[in-house]
Amino acid sequence: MNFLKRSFISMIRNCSKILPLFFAVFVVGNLLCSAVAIKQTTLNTKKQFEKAFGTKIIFDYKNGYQNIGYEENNIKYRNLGAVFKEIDQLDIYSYSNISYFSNSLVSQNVKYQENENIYYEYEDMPLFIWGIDETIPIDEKEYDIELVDGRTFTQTELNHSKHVVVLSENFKITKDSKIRNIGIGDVVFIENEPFEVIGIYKRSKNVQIEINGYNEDNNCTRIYMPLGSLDEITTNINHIPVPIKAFFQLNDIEDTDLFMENYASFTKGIQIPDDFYMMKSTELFEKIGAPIESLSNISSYILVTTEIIMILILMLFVFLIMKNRKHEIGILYALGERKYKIILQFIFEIYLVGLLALSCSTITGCKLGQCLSTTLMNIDNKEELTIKEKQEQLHLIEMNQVDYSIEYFGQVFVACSLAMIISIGFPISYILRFEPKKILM
Amino acid sequence: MTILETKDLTFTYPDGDSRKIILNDVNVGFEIGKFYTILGPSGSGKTTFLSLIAALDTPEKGEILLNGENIGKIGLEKFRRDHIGIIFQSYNLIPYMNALENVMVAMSITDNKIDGDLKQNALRVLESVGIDGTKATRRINRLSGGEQQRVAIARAISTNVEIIVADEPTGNLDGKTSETIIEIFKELAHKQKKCVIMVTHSEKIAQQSDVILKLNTDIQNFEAHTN
Repeated sequence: MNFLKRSFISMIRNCSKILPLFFAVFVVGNLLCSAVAIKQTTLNTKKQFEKAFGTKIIFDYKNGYQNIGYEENNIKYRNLGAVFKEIDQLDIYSYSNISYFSNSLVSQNVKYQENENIYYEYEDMPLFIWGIDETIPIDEKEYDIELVDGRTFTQTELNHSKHVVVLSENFKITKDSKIRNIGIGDVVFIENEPFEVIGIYKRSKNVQIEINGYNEDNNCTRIYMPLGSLDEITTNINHIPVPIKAFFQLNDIEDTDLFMENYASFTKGIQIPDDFYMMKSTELFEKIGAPIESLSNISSYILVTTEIIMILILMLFVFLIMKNRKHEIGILYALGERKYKIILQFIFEIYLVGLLALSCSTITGCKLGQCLSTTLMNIDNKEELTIKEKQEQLHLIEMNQVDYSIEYFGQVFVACSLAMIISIGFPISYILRFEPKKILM
Repeated sequence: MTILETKDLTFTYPDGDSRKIILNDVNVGFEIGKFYTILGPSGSGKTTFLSLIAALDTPEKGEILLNGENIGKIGLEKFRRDHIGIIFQSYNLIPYMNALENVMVAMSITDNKIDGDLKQNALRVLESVGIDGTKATRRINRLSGGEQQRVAIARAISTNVEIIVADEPTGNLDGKTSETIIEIFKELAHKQKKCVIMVTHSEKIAQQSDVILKLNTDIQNFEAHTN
């Protein structure tokens, strides 16, 4: 009749006394599991975000492209272009994508069928000509646009500066809302040079763009062509295209520092535009992952609060159990049982009941946590994010998943076990400080 | 042969601002093979004395010696575990266990050597105090008071200890059952060569013991009478 057997006998024969403890642990366990589930969700989402989006460094402009065109600024842009070309030589990224732009071509001489000037349906909007040096435009890579017809550029077209363009489907509508039958294989004239339409794109479905005027970075006003072709048609008007948007997909997150070091050395002593920003994907997560971060904070508070509540509830229950069983402790102690065995007997008995309740609550708590985290994420959706950030945030929220990993169970069980052991060990140890006579009184 | 003795044993209780002396420099020895009763009126300190010699409480002053060694040095837990069997007036059995399990609990706690199978030994000890196999497997609360006290006695003697202390074990029992219990104690002392120390307030029961130790409330010490 060792202490383990005594625990089992007590558990089986004192069911009615143990049952309230079971339900208390089950309820608190659900809370705890939910908190851990939310916390784990946020961590998983962050990991998945990094996995899905990789470690990328994005260069873009804060306030549109209104500063381009001033010769003074263009020098800065060209400097930046040179920096990009130097970065391009490094082998720390899996691919890069840089778009170039020539201000001189905005809205000028873009014609369809030789005589009709192409305007976007909002007639005041300028048309931007983007030079691309990758087969897929950066905007498609970044999910800003979606190809609906035709294709993007081939490497041969890029290498040989072929006269091909990818247009927005919005060009199919004239400014007076009539349908323009522009399509794949048609020819448009840019600076009087003919360009074959090889692809039609549209804005991505999830992105709602508000058009606020000239400076709005609205990708539907863009016409994509090979960079060589852009160079060619701008030579005539003595304008060098400048880089306006670039990203570098690094091989490894560890390469971020190396990239930054190189970037710093390449930009040392040269003037670069003031109004562009550089964002690392980790920073991007910090920006767009705000709901997830806040959720993580909430879950941390819930976790700590729940653990405190759990310890208090368990202590209360254990106190009540101990009050009933104090006499038994006294008997065992009077018989000469070792203190640690008495403590172990009660810890084992209560812990086993708690563990059983906890196992049940893990499953329900996980489901609860999943629902809760999804709800909270949707509530805390920031409005001030840019279109792209919103889009990536949607991706991020979609990633929100709780998996029943060993880590998850480990966290829940370790937290609960600690709470239970503390709440059982403390009162028993306190009781056993007294002599058996006092305990039995 | 003296197995247990007290030297200048003193114990006081708080009584308002002062302390009430319960035991004052008590010096007494107990021998193997004798049945002792401690007699005295209520409040004289009988139970306190028993608690001290059973190591259920600690004295303020003085020593309790087991074969000349201070029980504090042996360790109070170890002393209770291996050298003394305690029988309480209110039995103090574990309620959710049956008689057999209650005895087996004590047997599993002691470090004393118990030959053979624990369960068979427990059944044999229970049998020796009049609890048969059927009653042995009954839950404690289904046994009568007398039967519960027998189980308590069985638990105390099952660990092969030399000293048995009993605090008014017949206090809640009828006359006939009390007689049976006293007979068991006599047998334990005389045949099994245990040192049995029993607290009682009954002069009649005390008369059946080998030595009566009367606790005098005025001097807080013993007067010994040998029967």
